[in-house]
Amino acid sequence: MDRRKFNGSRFFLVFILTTFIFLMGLWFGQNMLKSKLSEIEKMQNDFRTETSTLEVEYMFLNQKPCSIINSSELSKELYQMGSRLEFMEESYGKNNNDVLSLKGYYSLLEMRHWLFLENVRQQCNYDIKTILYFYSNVRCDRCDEQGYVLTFLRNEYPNLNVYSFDVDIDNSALNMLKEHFNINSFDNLPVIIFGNKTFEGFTPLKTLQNEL
Amino acid sequence: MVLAETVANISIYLGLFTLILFLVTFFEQKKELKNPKITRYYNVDILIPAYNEEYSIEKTIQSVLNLDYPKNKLKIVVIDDGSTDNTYKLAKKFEKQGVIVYTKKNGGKANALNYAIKRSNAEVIFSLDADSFVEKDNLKRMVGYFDNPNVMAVTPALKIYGKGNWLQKVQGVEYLWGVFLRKVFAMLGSIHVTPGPFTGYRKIFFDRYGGYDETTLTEDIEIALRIQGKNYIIENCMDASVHTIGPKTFTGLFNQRLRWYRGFLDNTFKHKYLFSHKYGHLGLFVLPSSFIFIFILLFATLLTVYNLVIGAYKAFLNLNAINFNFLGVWQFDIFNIYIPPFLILGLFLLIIAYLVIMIAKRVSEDNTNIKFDYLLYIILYWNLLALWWFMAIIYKLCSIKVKWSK
Repeated sequence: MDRRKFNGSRFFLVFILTTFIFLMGLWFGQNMLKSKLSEIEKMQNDFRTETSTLEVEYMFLNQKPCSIINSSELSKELYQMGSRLEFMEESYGKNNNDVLSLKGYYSLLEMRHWLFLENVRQQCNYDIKTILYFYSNVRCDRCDEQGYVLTFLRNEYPNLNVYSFDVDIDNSALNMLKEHFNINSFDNLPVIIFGNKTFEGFTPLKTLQNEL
Repeated sequence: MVLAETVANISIYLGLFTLILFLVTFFEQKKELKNPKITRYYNVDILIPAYNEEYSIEKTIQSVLNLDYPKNKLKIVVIDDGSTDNTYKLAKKFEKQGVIVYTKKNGGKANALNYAIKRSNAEVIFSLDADSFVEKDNLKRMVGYFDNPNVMAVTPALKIYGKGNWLQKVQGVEYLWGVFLRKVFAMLGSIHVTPGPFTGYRKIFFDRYGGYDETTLTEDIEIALRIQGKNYIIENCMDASVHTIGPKTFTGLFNQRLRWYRGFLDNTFKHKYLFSHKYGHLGLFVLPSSFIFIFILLFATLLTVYNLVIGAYKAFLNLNAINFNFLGVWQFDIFNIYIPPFLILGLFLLIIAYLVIMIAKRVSEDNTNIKFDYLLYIILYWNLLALWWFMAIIYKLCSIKVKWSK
């Protein structure tokens, strides 16, 4: 009955081989994700430079400031960054520190872009519509649906700028923004600020279309 | 998602471990692939129990008559188990070629085999299901294993007959995988099923420890576990191909598997003493890992179904919010293409499994093309397997009686 006798050394060899192959697979996957994180980081840096360039141009050419403003490309980049971060959240998990830190910085970039556009809109009388969207990934049942509605609207109306803010991100500028718009409770999420109006809870597509 | 990924990672690690263990064992003991040389021709009885097998019985008997083995050492016995069709009449036609045909009241396959075993004077007894066909060299390749007095049974390489429909193609791949598995189990001294189609038994085992268990759903699992329990050897002859007709309907296959898996559960409980270090690989790895495999398979399947249902519900709500105008939110970004580690490893696992099947094909001298069948197998088989096990466990827990079905 030699063949049936438990062969410990064979099992040990197999354990080593399996663990090695398995760790190689995990390492490969992690590296793939890390390279994506660096890609987002690079995007954020580029975006910061581009926004700053726009701001400087705006300040410098105060003779005809409104003629040079074209921020639609920047908005597109901002959206792409947002959707990529969303993807990273799905892949890495919503509590991953690297993703959260990139997301925090993303919120700041969004605020900066929004404030800049608000300024341009007032100075140049541009027809730029802006939605501020407050959501949570963990404490909001209908935020997913609201996200779909806003993505749809954004694609449908090129003049509409949507800035989404995860209320779970803790940074002082975002906290100030939340305070400014009275986002104190999670019960009312999702919250949409559209012009002077505030919509609490899920807002249907039709309602928002009527406002545009 | 975290739970699903963890379960997937655990399943893949264990799958990889098992597959590598099997491959290492196979190549370490490769010399055992060679069959022992025939030193003498044993007196062999081939028993063919048949119940309503009019569509295949003639072909089965004919394949046995074509065996290359001294005729004075070989007896072919058909036991008609009270068939209500023409089985008995068709078998009788072969009497003039020396085939012995018994007929009796229906009592089940194990009962029919025991009926003939009691009347046998052979040294080695082969059972052969009446829907299975042997190849000319099978006996010559298999009987040499009985030169070792501790060998009580020798199993063949069981394959699905013909190409058939999609369900039979899936079974075809499964059986080829089984060809490899049975050889590795033999190398680990852990075969726990001696299939109905053409397993040979040393007659003395029946004399000492009784015939087939007539109360079980799977007499082939019961007798294999009994042989292991008595510390005898079950061998496998990888190049003795036997072809059996696989069920061609979903219901037929479902009933067959329900019987097999329920029978496996019943018999492993009956022989639970085998889960011990005293039985080496069988007690410490092969039998326990079967149960771990069943648990993971069911857990992973239920989790997948749950995630699919929840995902579909959420997708419905999201699309409903934009009046199902999904093109309005569609955007492609190459950045979002990501293959998680468990998928990469899973793919690696499937490739190794394919190579294993290729090894089984090569050693068992099989030249069928299974590339497309393997794809079908990957897509369908695991879902079917989960369903069969799930139902078998429900039947076991609720003590629901399972009907005997081929």
